[in-house]
Amino acid sequence: MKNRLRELRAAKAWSQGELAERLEVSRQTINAIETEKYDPSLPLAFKIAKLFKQPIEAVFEPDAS
Amino acid sequence: MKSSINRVGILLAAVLKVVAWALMAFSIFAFLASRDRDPSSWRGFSTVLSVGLTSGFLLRERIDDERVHSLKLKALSIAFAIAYPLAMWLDPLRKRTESITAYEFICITMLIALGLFHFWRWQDGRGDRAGAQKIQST
Repeated sequence: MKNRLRELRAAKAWSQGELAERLEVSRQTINAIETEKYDPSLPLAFKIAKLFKQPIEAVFEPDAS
Repeated sequence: MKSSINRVGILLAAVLKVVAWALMAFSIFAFLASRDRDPSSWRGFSTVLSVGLTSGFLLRERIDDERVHSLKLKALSIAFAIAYPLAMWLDPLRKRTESITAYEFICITMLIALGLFHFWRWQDGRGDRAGAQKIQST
């Protein structure tokens, strides 16, 4: 699954650590999501979307397969 | 209330983890220092080691999020799949007549699981420099 997390985070000028703190996860988890190594659970995906005030489909996009 | 319970849980897990690692370090030191290679001595050592390694793996991390849970489950599944044939292969090579004990099997499994978990966690923490530069340039 593709995501715009890095782009949205950069727009807010937050570090990975700052974003991790806001989402109550570790910095490694944020990096794993940004590098698309890990797809977050639905509750975490909603939390991310809510934090950036975006609809969930504007943050996450399924692979075109 | 929930956050204070959570904080106590994190503190308790951290203390127990330190105790587990201290117990393991002490048992390794005692086993090596005694130079006693009697099977009963090894059995006692492997029991303590298995308890320490299991505690070290299962106790919660400082930030215990869903990625940690997912990696731990994956590491444990793969570790078991590797340890099982490894133990079967190692068993005939040993000079002892009795088979590998459950504690020894747990030690092998937990060592592999801990190694895999920390390797993946280290990989997760590595920055994606290409991606970061792309964002900076836009």
